[in-house]
Amino acid sequence: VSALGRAALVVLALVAWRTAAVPALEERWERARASAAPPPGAGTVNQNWSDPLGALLGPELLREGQRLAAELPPAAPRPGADRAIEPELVALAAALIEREGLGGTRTSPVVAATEGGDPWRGVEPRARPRLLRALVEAGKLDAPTRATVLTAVLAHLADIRAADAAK
Amino acid sequence: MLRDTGTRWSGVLGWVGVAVGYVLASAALLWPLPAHFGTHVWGDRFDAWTTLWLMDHLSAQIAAGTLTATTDSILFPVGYNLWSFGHAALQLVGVALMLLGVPLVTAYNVLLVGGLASSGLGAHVLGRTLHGGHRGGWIAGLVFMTSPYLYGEGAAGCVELVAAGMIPWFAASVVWLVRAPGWRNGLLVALSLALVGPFNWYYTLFTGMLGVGLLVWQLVARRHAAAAWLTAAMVLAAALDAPLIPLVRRETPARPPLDVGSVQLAQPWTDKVAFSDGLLPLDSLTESFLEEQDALEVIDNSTQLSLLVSAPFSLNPLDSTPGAFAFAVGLVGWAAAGRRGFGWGAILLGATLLTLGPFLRVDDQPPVPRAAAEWPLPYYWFYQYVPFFSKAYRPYRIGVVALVALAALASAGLAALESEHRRLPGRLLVAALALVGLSQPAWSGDRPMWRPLADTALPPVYEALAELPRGGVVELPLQYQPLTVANARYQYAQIAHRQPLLNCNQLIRRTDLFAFVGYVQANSFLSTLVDLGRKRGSLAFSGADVAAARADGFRYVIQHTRVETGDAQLASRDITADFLGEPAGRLLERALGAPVLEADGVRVFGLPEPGTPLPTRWIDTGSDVVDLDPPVDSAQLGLPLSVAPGGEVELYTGEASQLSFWAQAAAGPAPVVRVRSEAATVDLPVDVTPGTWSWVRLPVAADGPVTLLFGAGEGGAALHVTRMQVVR
Repeated sequence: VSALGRAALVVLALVAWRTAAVPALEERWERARASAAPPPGAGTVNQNWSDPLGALLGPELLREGQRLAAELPPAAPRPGADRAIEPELVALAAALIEREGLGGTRTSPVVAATEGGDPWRGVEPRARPRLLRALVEAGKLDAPTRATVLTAVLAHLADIRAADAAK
Repeated sequence: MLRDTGTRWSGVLGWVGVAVGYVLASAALLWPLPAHFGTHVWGDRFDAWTTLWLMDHLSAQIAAGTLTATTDSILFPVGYNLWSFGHAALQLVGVALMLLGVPLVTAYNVLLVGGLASSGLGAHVLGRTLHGGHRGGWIAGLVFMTSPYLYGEGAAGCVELVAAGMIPWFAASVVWLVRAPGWRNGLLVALSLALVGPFNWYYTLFTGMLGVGLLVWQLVARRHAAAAWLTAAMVLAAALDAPLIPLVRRETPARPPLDVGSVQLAQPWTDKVAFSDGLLPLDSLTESFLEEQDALEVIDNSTQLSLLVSAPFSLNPLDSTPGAFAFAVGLVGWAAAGRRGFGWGAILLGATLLTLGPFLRVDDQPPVPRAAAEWPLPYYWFYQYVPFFSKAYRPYRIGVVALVALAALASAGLAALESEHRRLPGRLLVAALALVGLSQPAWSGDRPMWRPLADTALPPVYEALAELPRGGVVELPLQYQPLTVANARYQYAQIAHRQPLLNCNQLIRRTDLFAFVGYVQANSFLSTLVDLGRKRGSLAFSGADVAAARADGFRYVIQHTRVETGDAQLASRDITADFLGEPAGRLLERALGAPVLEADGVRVFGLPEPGTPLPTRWIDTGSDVVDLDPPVDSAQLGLPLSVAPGGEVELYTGEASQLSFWAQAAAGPAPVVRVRSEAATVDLPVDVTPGTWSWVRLPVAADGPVTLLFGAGEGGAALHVTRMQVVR
């Protein structure tokens, strides 16, 4: 086989690796995580880096969220925004809403149940995972309020996407 | 003759062009940093602030002719040995820039960009050597310098790790030696290897590992002359670096052995999280405990299999690998190079295996599974039994050796393709790869290009502090872990006030941490100041210990009533550690009197002069302090407390003499604090400095019980609030 042929074969193998093998492996590992006991220190904060929200919420919920998030249109990058966390945020918010039995509310208007106004107005994207984590961990808000806030998250993100699309 | 001279000049100019190209490529990769070169740094973690401090300290001390190995400018009065930083030569470059008049932040960023460019250039030399032309150099340089490993270390502020170009340069020198064995090339190999030492201990070890790999390759290929010269060169390099060994020992104290049993237990890992969060009391930080933490750190700093499989462009260096781009280009290159790539491929596989650390872990969830602990990986045996190997206690960083192999394979593969297909558009291919590689931060993995930069400006009040009489400073809260960015900046602020500082951002080595704990624990005043923001309940210290601290040279205690919003965000949920409340605030005032300096949200208290009569004991039980639980705790929820138009939110009912809370402005007007008593209703305005979390303390002047509320006008109001307290 020529050098070009060998290189082409490896390119094909890498494509197959990324598109088939990696997702399959990740799903398998997620299943293993789901059946394992919570890790020591789960729910506490690492000194330098935020805990993965998935570790707190559980892989089943995360996976469901990822499935729902995949249905959302992709977002264009915005300068100054922390895009890295947003797909995860969308995934979790969507999954939580699903769990609360509010499927289909992703386009609902923001219900101002938390003392008036859009609770996400002025909230930096970086701060949002903390909200979600706290909601889930501490049960600070009751289920309807939580669902409302999460709906607001998705509405907010939908606004961003609409604005991006309009540019 | 003239033609020779012309060719030589053409070659020199070609290399100048290549060097300029890598500087531009580095600037592109690190964008938007170049647009804020003199004011911001790329990195929100702690090494950036530490390195900035170190560069300034060194240049100031050298300029004054007062540089000593141990300084009390930090970790005062215990002292901190500057050799602990372990990358002296790189610092000298930075210091030279500063002595030439380059401002600190610009010099730091020049080091970062220059380090990245030199990494690309070093790999370029290797690639050109293997390929025979600059195209091979560019492909190797791009694979090497656009790796998430180098990017992540740069973002974390570890500039000494970004400057990795000497490793591929060393590999190139070995290739020259193999092609033409002899003393000249042997000496070049020895000097190349020895030169890494003063720049970076880690990389000296890694370069040595690469040298051993290349040596084995020569032995397998029966190139005995090359193997003999390479062995001699490495021995000479080791001899040249031998005087540095005591300094290496200081930088990384003896690593404890790995305990296969304890890594499978949950408790040590739970303790590790609490330790990392700075939540453990000082008396629990025994030497044996810290040794156990050091051992677990090795596992935590190993590449997880799940990350290796997908090789994402992670910003967190602990999650970094050579990256999908480098793996893809390198592996395709290996396939094209065929048997010629065997040696580099073996080095790639070996180095990648070592990055997995002592035990195979699929993900970052401890503890280590039983099967993985019972079947340790090669790293474990090297760590336990090969002298000096344990100094490479962050296995993921061995990925830089894998990167060298990938860069070499990429250029070797391009050479094979071009020799087989003369009309292959090599330049176009390299240009396309450059576009993909350099744009990764914008679209791949964590997409770190979109993260905010960190502003390096310091409050002017620190310059006023410099004018006060010389004396030791404690910035509050005092932490034994680099917990928050605001806290990490305290050491950086020392460059403005120049007073010796107890706070130290570099207590990551257990020897220094143990010295800190030993000193602070012996003084009830100083130990009370540790983690003061998260302490609850009674606080107490003796007058004798305040006097002892003053006798040791301490003169100032600094309380912060503002924290920059950006710093707070980066601290995640740990931001509450920065927020001092009651009774700490009033106890400081009682014990130390009015601040001697107050501005920019910084309150500087002076310790009593020697000989001042002091009470036997200060104690504040905090029994009259009530921690409130408002409807929204913004530090936890990231959500402002919103008040509907014309509405109110009740906060507290009962006896109250003061309401305090930490607040950050939200969109729209802030609510007023409404004090409702039987006699009257009074509205108190809430004053918050924009862009900060501010400590708001409002006296409540009313007889009898009151109801405290947030009230809004017609437009509604919102405010981020946390750490809300009432003093009855």
